[in-house]
Amino acid sequence: MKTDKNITKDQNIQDINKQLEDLAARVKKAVGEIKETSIETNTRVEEINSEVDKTIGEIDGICSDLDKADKEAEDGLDSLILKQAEELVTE
Amino acid sequence: MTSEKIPSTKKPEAPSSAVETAEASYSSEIVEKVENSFSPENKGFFNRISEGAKEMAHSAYEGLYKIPGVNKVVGKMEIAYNQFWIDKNEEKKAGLRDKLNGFDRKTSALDKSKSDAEDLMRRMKIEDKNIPTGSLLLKLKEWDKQKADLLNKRDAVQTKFEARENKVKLFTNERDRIADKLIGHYNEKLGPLEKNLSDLNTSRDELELTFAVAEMRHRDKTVELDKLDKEKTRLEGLLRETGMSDRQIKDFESVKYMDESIASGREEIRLEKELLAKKEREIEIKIAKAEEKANPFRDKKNEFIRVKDSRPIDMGVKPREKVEEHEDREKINIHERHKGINKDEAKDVVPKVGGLAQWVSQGAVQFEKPMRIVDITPDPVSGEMYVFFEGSNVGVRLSEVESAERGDEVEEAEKKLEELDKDKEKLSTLDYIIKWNDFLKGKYKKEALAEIVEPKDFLKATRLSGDYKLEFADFKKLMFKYLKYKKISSREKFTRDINGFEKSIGVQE
Repeated sequence: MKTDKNITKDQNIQDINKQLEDLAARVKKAVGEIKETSIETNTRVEEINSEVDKTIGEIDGICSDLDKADKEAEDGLDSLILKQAEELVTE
Repeated sequence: MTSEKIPSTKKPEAPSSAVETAEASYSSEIVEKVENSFSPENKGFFNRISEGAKEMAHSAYEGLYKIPGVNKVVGKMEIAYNQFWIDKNEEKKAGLRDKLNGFDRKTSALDKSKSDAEDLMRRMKIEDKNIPTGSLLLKLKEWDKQKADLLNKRDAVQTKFEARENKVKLFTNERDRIADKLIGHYNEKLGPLEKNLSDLNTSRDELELTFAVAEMRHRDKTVELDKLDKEKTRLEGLLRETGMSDRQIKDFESVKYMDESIASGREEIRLEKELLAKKEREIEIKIAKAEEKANPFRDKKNEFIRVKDSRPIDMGVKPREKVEEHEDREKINIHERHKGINKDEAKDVVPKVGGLAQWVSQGAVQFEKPMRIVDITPDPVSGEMYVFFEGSNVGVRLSEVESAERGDEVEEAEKKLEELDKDKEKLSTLDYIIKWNDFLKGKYKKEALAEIVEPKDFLKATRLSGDYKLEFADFKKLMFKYLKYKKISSREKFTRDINGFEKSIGVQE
């Protein structure tokens, strides 16, 4: 037969156990929110990353186009300078 | 054949004596670089031109390959726009002009002689002097022939002169056409390039905002996990008080679950922080590289215009606004928490039913705040006194309980402080936005319209819920990054406004 003290002890343990279970539920919620935040943040970061890649792709395209224009201008100027040098020297 | 040296088109980056010395010792390496820089077509033409022209070309290009870092297309444009070519053409034209003048003088002299002879013949005819004029007529014919020859020669020189003039025109026209075409191309492409660079900046700002929110949420969750962990420890302590061993306590399902979950939560935060920091670096590097690649093109257009105008130009354009460097991490104000109960004040007072007390085990305070005592009773077996607190069935040894009776004032003060702290530090995100908008409306009246923050947009950008509690320092940081991302307010203006706002809502950090 249980003594009063043991009954009190059991009740105490049950009470603490209840509190622990409540606490575990709060922990579960908190950890869930952490994971949710991680997923949400990573998704957004990946979206921004994709936007950045797309923009950089466009910048690369423009730069390559301008490089081509530079080269074309360089060739035109070279041709002009060489012809001019030849004309000035031969006449 | 003498080599014609084109004056250096480069800015005086090196002392002239050094340049002269370098010019004197013509480096074959530079010659090779010059020739290799030509397109196959130009290289073929270069191989066919005279040695003198080759030397002139080498001389023209020399500076371009001697000084590192000179932009080739700008340098070549500078060469083409060098006054040297015009001057040399003018020299050639001057020689032809002298020849033409010589012809003109000679024809004038012939005309004069012819006119004088004709005059003489006319007078002789009037005076009826029977002097034979046959030889004079022959001379006149000879002069006519000489004049015709001179005029023919003059025409040939005139043709050369005109051709030279046309060549100068053709050269300058072709040079301008190339430059204009290039500038036009740049004008067409720089707009989209600027837009893309601006988009990158916006992405960077959005990224900063996202990271700031993540950082704040990580911190909040870390604090929450710490609190939960502390609460768990307290409950474990209570179990220990009932006589349970540590091993028995660890066997509790909920304890096991919490140990694992809290650890995994902390690990998740740690890994996430690492991942985000890595991602942030990667994206920053990508953006920086793209900017580095694009920036020379922004500068080149102005260089072309400067060269074309053959004078330094003041574009009247403000220096490119360097993206303001942000502090990597803004200070997070950690509000100092109040201390626990002043034990010196509390320990001399005997705990009593109805009074407030704290459970102190092995020197550590077990309750978050003092609890009210509902019973003090002896253990039926040992006779040792146990204290029971409100809301708990657990008995605590009286020897481990310290009264907070005299600490009532402390507790009240603490409560007030805590309430005050909460009020001051933690408002919901939505409350902050509403108060911020009210503050702006009060300060700027109608002009505030452009700066009013749309709550929905703020919440969407930060992905926070309207009732998410924020400390003022977090609100300040997030609002700054949000406004920067939305390009609404400058840093200076924001600093002025946020300080005023801080005072207006009574926050004292």
